[in-house]
Amino acid sequence: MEPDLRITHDVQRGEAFAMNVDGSSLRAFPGETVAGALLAAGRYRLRYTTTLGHPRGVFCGMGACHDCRMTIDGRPNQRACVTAARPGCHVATQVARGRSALPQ
Amino acid sequence: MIAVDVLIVGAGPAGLSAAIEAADAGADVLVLDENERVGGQIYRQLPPEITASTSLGDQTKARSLFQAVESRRNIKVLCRTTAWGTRGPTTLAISTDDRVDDVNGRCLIVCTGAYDRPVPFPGWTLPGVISAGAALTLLKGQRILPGRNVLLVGAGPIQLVLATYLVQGGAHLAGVLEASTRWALYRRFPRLLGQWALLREGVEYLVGLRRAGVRVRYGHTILRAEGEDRVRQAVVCRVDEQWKPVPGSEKALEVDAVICGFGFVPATELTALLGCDHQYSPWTGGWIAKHNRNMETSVPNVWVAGETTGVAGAVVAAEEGRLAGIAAAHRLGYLSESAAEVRSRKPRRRLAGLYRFRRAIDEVYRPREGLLDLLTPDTVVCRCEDVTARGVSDALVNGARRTAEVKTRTRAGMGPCQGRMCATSLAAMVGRYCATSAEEAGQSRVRPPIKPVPLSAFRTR
Repeated sequence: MEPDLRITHDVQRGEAFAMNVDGSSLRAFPGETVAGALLAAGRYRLRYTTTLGHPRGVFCGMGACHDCRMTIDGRPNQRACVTAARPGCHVATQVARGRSALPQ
Repeated sequence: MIAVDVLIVGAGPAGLSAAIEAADAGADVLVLDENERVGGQIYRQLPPEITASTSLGDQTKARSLFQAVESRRNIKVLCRTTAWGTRGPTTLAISTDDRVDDVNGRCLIVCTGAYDRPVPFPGWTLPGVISAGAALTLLKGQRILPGRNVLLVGAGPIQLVLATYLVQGGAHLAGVLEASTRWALYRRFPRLLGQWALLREGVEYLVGLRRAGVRVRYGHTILRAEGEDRVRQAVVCRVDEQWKPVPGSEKALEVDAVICGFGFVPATELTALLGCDHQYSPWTGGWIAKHNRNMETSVPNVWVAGETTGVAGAVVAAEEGRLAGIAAAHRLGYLSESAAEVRSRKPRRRLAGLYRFRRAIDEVYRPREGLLDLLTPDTVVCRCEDVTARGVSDALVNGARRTAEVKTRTRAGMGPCQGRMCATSLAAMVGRYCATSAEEAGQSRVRPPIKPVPLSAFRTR
């Protein structure tokens, strides 16, 4: 069974939905952030840094440190800790500064 | 352009209290906040989609504050809104959901709060090592544990709060390490007497934790965190009165998360951008905007309140917010001089006692110099730009004498966080190397946008 860090005692959540994370499906609940859903599943690593290539995850958790930058629905550098998890959203581990598709 | 009487940035206890006072006097108030809901960090609420039958901490104050704001028709709240720049002395550039706008307040009250004091040690950038603020946000806002087997390191009462919430949530605590010594606390204990409510809260947390079998280990901290792509082990040690690691006292602990809470740093980016004079206040977290007894800054019609003017907790923030709201209403002619004075009396009296209490707490838990001894040459200091302690030392050896010079030479502080996660460490390193103070090292410069805004937000419609 995959680890789940959600507190369930005395807590009610809505209907679970699936996000797409690096090509595989990951469960999330309404009201969660992308970072929250990933962390709850034990997925701590969210990106690799530009210069040293170090793994990074959530650090400040409130949108100040920008360490949780991921590519979400094709947009790079989105802060996973302040981005709401949505059904079917595409989340990708970001390497360095990330790349976005050119606008049509 | 939006125009209001009183513009308030930040919907935490300071901002909301200021809004209520100004609105009660008759002013039209607009409160901006970048989060989904009001409350700030301390009164962070669960989203409507997640419900819990037990609350974390006492929610009565938060609820009555929210109700008071909701019931006043002349208070408007704009959430998901970031103030990222200035357009004039009291005019801000804002963005809401990727749309930019300008907003002018005849009076402006800045209540931008604080963020966790970054303390670099080897491995502090590993996934799974998170700040106390992040852990609280996860617990309060989503009921998610940062890990199953958690180590708490840092200093200050926030550790007790966090440890209590973690135990309630079913986490195992690998340790609660308080860098301050027991003696540092006991020596100042007499000065804590008088603020009975706050004192009782602290004792209740301690007793609760003791019942749960959790012991706080004073005079201990983390030496390094280890792991490949996430933290697996932490090496902890004893520290002396100056928080310097004691050689030979190292001990390895298996963990899956480390929470670091070494206090908070006031968020002064906006007041710096507005051109307010700042002063260095080591007791309350670092650089803060100078203000008079009514909380007005050196820039006319700009006030500050709450953690952004010195980290002192929610109760102090609310009282300061009241003073600022009353003063702004008076400036706009909604209150006479004497009416403003009468309304300010109670907050002022409460603050006097609270500041005394806070000063004693700060003396116990303020960061000590020994934290710099946790650095090794390869320790990353600037998380955004991957600048190591060696990189900073090289800049210092080559003649950098101020924080701003280190920034220019190394790029430390030039990343997306704009120095929020490294400026205090850089200042401390400059201070030690040049045998001056962090104050002499100087404040890091800020540039707009102080929070990122996508270019697409500027598309004309």
